[in-house]
Amino acid sequence: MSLYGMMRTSVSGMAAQSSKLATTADNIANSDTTGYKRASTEFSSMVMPNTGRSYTSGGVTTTVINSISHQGIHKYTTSALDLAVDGNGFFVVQDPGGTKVLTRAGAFVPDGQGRLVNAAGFQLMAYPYGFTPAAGSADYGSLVPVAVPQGEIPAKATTEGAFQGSVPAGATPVPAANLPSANGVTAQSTVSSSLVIYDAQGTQRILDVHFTNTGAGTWEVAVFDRADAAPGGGFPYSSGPLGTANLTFDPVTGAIDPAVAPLSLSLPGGQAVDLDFSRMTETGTQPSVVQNADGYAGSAIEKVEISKDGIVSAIYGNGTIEKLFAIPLAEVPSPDRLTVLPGNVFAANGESGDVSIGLANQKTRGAIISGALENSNVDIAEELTDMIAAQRSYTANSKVFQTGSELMDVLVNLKR
Amino acid sequence: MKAVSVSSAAISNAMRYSQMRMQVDLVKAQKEMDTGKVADTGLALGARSAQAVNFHRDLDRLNALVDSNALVSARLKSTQDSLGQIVSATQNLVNVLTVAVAGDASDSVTSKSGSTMLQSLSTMLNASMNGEYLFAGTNTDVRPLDDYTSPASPARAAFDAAFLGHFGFSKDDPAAAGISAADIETFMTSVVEPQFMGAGWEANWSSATDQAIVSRIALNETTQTSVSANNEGLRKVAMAATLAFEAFSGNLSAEAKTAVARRAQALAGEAIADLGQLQSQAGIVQNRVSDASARINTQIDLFEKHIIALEGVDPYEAANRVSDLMSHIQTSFALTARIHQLSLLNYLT
Amino acid sequence: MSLSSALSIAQSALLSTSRQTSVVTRNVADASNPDYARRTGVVVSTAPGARMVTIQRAVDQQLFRQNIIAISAWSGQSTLAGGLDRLQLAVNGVDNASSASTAIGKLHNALQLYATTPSNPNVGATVVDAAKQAIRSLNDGTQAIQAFRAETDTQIAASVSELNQLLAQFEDVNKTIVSGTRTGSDVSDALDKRDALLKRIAAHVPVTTHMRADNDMVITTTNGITMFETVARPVSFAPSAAYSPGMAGSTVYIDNVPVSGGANEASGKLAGLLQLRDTTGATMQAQLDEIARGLISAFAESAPPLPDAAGLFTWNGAPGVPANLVNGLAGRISVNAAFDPERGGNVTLLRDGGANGAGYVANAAGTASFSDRLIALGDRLDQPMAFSPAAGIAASSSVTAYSASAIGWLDHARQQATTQADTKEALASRTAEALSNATGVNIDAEMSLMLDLEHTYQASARLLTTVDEMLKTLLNAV
Repeated sequence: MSLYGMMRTSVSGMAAQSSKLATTADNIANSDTTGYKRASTEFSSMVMPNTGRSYTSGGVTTTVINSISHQGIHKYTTSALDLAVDGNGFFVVQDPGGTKVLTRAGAFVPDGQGRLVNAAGFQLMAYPYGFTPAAGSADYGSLVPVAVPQGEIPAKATTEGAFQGSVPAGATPVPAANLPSANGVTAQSTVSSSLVIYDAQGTQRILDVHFTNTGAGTWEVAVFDRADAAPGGGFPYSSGPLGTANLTFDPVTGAIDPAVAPLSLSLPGGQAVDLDFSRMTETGTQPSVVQNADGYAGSAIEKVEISKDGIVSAIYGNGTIEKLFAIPLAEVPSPDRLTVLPGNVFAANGESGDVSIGLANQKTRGAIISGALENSNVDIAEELTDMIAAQRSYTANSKVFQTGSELMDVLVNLKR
Repeated sequence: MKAVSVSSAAISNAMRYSQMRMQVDLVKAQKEMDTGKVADTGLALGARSAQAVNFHRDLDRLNALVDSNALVSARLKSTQDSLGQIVSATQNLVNVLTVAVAGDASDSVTSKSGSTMLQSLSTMLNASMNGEYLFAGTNTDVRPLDDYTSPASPARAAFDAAFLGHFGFSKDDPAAAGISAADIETFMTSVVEPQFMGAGWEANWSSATDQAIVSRIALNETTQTSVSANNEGLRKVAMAATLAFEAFSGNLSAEAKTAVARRAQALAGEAIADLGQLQSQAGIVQNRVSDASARINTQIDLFEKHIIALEGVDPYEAANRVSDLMSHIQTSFALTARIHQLSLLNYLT
Repeated sequence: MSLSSALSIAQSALLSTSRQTSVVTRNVADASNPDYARRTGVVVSTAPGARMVTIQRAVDQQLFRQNIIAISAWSGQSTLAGGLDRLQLAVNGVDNASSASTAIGKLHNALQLYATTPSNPNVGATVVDAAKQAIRSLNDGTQAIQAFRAETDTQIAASVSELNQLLAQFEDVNKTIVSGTRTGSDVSDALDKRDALLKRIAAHVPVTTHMRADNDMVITTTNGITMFETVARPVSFAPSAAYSPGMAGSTVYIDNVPVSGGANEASGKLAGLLQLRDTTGATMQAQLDEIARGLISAFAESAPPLPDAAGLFTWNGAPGVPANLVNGLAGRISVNAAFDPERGGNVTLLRDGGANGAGYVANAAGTASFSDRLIALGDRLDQPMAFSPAAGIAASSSVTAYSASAIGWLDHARQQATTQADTKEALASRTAEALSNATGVNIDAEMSLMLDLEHTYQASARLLTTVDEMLKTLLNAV
């Protein structure tokens, strides 16, 4: 009985080693697969109940372990859509059937509809920008596939602008009759500046802004539409000023005193623009006026950028950035226990614990690196050494089996 | 970690700017060495170049004045020569008349010396230079004096007419022998004298003007630089000679002739004194002109000095600068070559 | 996992080394490009492995600003100096040989000679010749000045169109920079280009720059006129084909605001050209006109109570004598035909007077050596008269001294401009050198950096082969 038991034990040892060799083969085969997590085998002994005088050999049982929580090396690439997770967490992806699974394989490329799809055909899921998932839960319902927009961003009308800088102190005052606000032929200004603004259609319009000294420390600001300027430029404009304001400067500090409210302009077509002059000063002899206004013309998308926090932004030709999605990361309490599915994806199960989804780079969740991929965490050398060891163990087991078999032979020959 | 850095472009260009400047300077210094003047006067002097322009122009004008003074001097010299000849001829006339007063000379000799005097007077006074009659006053394109001895002379006709008018007959008339000394005195004083000393001179004798030529002899000095034939001394000489010639060629009595000779002798004597004065006046002008020229020459020297002070360059300094710049440029060439060799590339294999 | 990660790190090191090498190569390639600023590949290590994060561009705003100010000043002053040199040569000739002053000096000398020998009409003819010389000098001078103004006008037009082109290019480059900065891409090349454009713009107009968010640059002139803000502002100018004395040149507008050359030190080519056209050219013309007026009045025939009448020198307003500055008189002055023997005139009129009728005869007797009037004419050339203060020279002086002062005036301006141009050139060259030192490439430094990179590369490669050997050993063991 013990001879048979010994032979069976060695068979179980050979089986265990061959499954170890199988995981090694898998590991070596996938040593370059993005997001692949190494599989390894753990053995545990199986012991038969023994009487004190004889020993009944038991066997070995094999458990396959996936080192999912073990992060692979980041391999840097040139595509901004190649994503890697630095730290804990998984991308949430869905297969064409709509099943949501987890993965660390982030080699995404846009498909025909602009959706980001990885090599295994899974779509990247994300929350719309601004959505904050509840902590500790898995809000699969709010996830949408990440899609790179293909159209144009519409123009945004200018609503506010600001002037800052200085007008020269000690300028010669202009008589009231010649002030730009009077819009006469003889009108003249001390400092002329201009500002580009956009209307809702994205059409550019230039506003002429005339700063005119009216006395010691007092200035008049008159804003005109450049399109109304007299032929050859300048006064008189075909229609009066869009708005005028009076600035008074403190003679000591040169700052505006009293404060002025932003000048509200109402442009033809109903557009309203507020111009802020509160940061003007009166200093020096040379004028120096810097202008700034918001608003932009429409323009086509230039590229997509994904930040550390997983924010997907579209960048347009005019430099405008539109934030579109926030890529969340999913976590489970025991990642190594996740069910491994084909395509480097994992599914939660009872052992792994429940999935919770949250924004990247927060709390325990890792950061998302754009332009990098997570390599498999397989080390060839380790696999090879494991393989040699497994081979030797297998040989040893077979020797035990052979010895048992030979002993059986001797036993059979005893009869003759 | 930012140490003091130097860029390769800066290294290779370091010499270029100064190199260029030095070459420009070299060209300038060379020009200055050759000409002894600053290369570009306008640039070197700026607003003061107006001063230099003024100096140059004044220098030109002074040189022109020296030239024109030479002309004036030559005129005065000729005038002086002519006056000297007239004086010596007059002296001869006085000698002849002195003998005639004593009654020791033949009439024809006296008359002849009178006519000779008249001829030489007109020759002298008609002396010309550069196409200008010296004694014509400002009327230099007309001969100041006609030849009295020629039959066509208006002066002679006037004299004959005056004689005829006064006495009722000509001097060749036998009746002339009856003219007394007193008569002839009256004739000489009231008829002949106005012909010479008065309006008759300019009417019959001289086409010269009283006005003399005025010349600028210095920047701020003008002076009369000619002698007019209308000078009193010259008139007296003419009158003495005419009297001698006319009286001693006619039929006048010895008494009358003596009276005439006496008068003529006195006139000629006075004329010599007058002419002496005229000579000395001309001499003074001559002196003024030569003084002015000398002064102008001093001024010219002074101006030239000023001009040199303004735009001149010490040729020694200029030469030094040229050689300095040349060695600088050579040094910088050598340095540039060295710097270009100085490269890490030479040590990288 | 150690061997695989070693492989991966070595691979990443190779990648970053080769990127750094490309930066070094770029630096070396552009070492002699004055508009190129040195790039540095900054390597930031991320565990595990290394990654090059950014390309940084050397900048020194302070030096750059000084450099463009110096460029403006140099460009303005050298334009001015060059223009003045050309004017001096065109109007006054080499060593002032064809200047009015020289001609008047010669006229004076001829007059002196004629006064010494008034009876000689040939000498008188030399006076008329000298007068013609003076007139030629004035007429040619007028033509030269007006041609110069027209030519300057053309240059202004060229400068304006170049400025518009530069601003249009600037708009493109600035747009690239702004969107590049926002998207975080490498805009170093665009920044180089923008700096180069700014230098070229500054050569035309002195500018002040302001930075807005995202590297967005606003350019204003030093007088506060907006030249570029989001879009290029138009620079407009209507050139005039020809110029006549007293004609004002058309104005240059930047952003519809008129730009003047200013009376001060010109900064920028445009200001230099405007000053040449409007200030220098016009003033010189006024001076020539005043010289012409001085000559006409000095030679005028005067016989009170009769009105003064033009003598040797006459003009289209003859017989009157101009009392005030007449624009373009220097171009219209001529020798009175009554005096010109070549046109059947009589030189002796100069000696005797009377070109304007018997009432003006000074030599009543008509004697040939009458020199009073000639001497008086010579004196009149030296007598002070009142000149228009508009011509920029001391108001009361003789016409002779005035013509010399005109040369002095020009030479003064020339000296100032040349000295300034030299100083500013030195400054521009120094600041360019300093800027180049601060932001330029030192090939030696780059080459030593390259040696470093080579070593890193070699070491990484060696690491790769070593890991390879190790794996081979392992495989052989199987």
